[in-house]
Amino acid sequence: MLKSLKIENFRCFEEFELPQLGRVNLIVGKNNSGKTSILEAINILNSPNNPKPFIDVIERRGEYYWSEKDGNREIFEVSHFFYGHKMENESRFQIVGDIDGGKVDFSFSLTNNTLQQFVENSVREDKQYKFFNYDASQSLGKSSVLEWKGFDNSVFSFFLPLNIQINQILHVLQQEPKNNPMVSLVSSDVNVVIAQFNQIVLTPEEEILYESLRFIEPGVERIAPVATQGYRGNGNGGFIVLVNKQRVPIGSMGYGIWRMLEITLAMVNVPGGILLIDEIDTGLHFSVMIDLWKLILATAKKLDIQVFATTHNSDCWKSLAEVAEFENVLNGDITIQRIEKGKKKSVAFNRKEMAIAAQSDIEVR
Amino acid sequence: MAIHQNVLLVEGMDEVRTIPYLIEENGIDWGTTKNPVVFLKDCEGYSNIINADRISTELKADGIRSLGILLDADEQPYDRWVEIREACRKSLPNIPHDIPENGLILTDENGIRVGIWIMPDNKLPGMLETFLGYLLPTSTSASALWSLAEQSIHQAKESGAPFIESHRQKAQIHTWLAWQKPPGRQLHQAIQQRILDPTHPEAAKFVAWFRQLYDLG
Repeated sequence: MLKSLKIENFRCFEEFELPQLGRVNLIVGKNNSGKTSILEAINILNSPNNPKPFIDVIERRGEYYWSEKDGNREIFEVSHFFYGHKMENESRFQIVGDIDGGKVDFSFSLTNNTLQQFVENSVREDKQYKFFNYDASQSLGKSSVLEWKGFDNSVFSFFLPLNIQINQILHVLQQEPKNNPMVSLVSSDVNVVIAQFNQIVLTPEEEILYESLRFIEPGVERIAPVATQGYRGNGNGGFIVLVNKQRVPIGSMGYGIWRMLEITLAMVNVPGGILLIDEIDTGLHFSVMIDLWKLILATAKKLDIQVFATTHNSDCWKSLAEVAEFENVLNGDITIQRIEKGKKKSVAFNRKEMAIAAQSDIEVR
Repeated sequence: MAIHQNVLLVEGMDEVRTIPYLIEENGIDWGTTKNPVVFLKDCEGYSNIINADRISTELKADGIRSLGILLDADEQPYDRWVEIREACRKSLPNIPHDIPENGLILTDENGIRVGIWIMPDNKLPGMLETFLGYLLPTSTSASALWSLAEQSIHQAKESGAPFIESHRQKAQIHTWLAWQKPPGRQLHQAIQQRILDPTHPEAAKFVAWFRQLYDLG
């Protein structure tokens, strides 16, 4: 479990620390304060030797442009990864995490080295390394190195030229054999959700799923996927739900049920890992949030998962504060971390403090 | 829940009602009900204030700049100081051993200002009413009546008046107020109508502490 996290020169953070993390952490703050960037940083840090989370961010945020001049390819606008959108020759950002065994570290640096120099350096420094097979003659300008250092001092380096087609990279990454990912993001992609369901169907974790759906609709008995892959509909589909002995498409049931499905499946698919949920309360009523927090906390303890969620909503932190008052919640179990632009550290509320804040009208977010 | 830059934790509604008048009569604009210059929080008793977690949480509130703590000394002022000092220690590791005569103002590691004042004067036993009892207008009749009130309280107690000993000063000031024009004004009205004198030199230290804590120029 991450005990603390430090970010340097990444996105809107010149230097930022979250020093006191717990098992379930709710990150609050105004719009544009960097909440999602923190989730991105955690994802990148905890996906060692895997550049996919990094590339996914570029793709999701659209931080690339199409350049005909450079041979009809997408160019990464990597400047957006750095604080102030500024890039110099030696630009570098770093994410450091404190876990139970020691420190883990990720750095992204620009480099003027060629691929050959990179390989020679890596061999000499006894580092594991990797790069894409790409046409060196097509490479123009800058390259970068992504490097992960584990707590056992192992180092893994990845050479990434900055003007490779994104689709090319994603295609290659897709082909890689998937190790059990350590990080799970809540996905709205029906095919992903169906795949997550298929992972846990007929296991004890399937029951956790039903427990969560019953917070909203107590009559839910079972669900099943409509198709095992290649679902092409939009919106909330892909599943049939047995409710009070009737078969109902999940889309007929309202967005809240879909959200519960998304969140719970993402969670039970990453035992021993990390769950990231952006804007956790979207589509969910305050009363349902309390039940969801209780379920998340119980499941996180049972499956040894660490959870990071974000919200900018006042009701949402108060629902977590209500859960804080239950007796079986221990001190390290839940925290609220407030992010404020311009500050160097998060303001962390522990279990007792969030309960006091809710009771005494103290504004946390 | 609104965001307040300036907060004062007080023991009860008497403080909530009287402090704004005391401050405003000293030339500081109190603002509006929705946007007061300082937000007075009734904590319903001193035990809710002398709580390390309550204080650390108040210091983490969104937007807080200055947090004040206003307590009554009651009978043992030094004990009360020690209690609040220790409750603040987690958040203010550099809190001094003794409270200064002019009240305490410190800054925590995040730049939030914290102030402590123990009524009446950070030294003597008593409460808000003791402090207000110092604000007698300078006329011989005022002080003569004050002595008379003190004697009357004493006699009333001997005749079985039910007020408890630690509330003697409350009984005294309300007795004195009963004899003023108009009779029976409440504490905050007495300040506003200058039956008590808010600009009395005895009030000056408290007002100065308040001004400095909340940066009111």
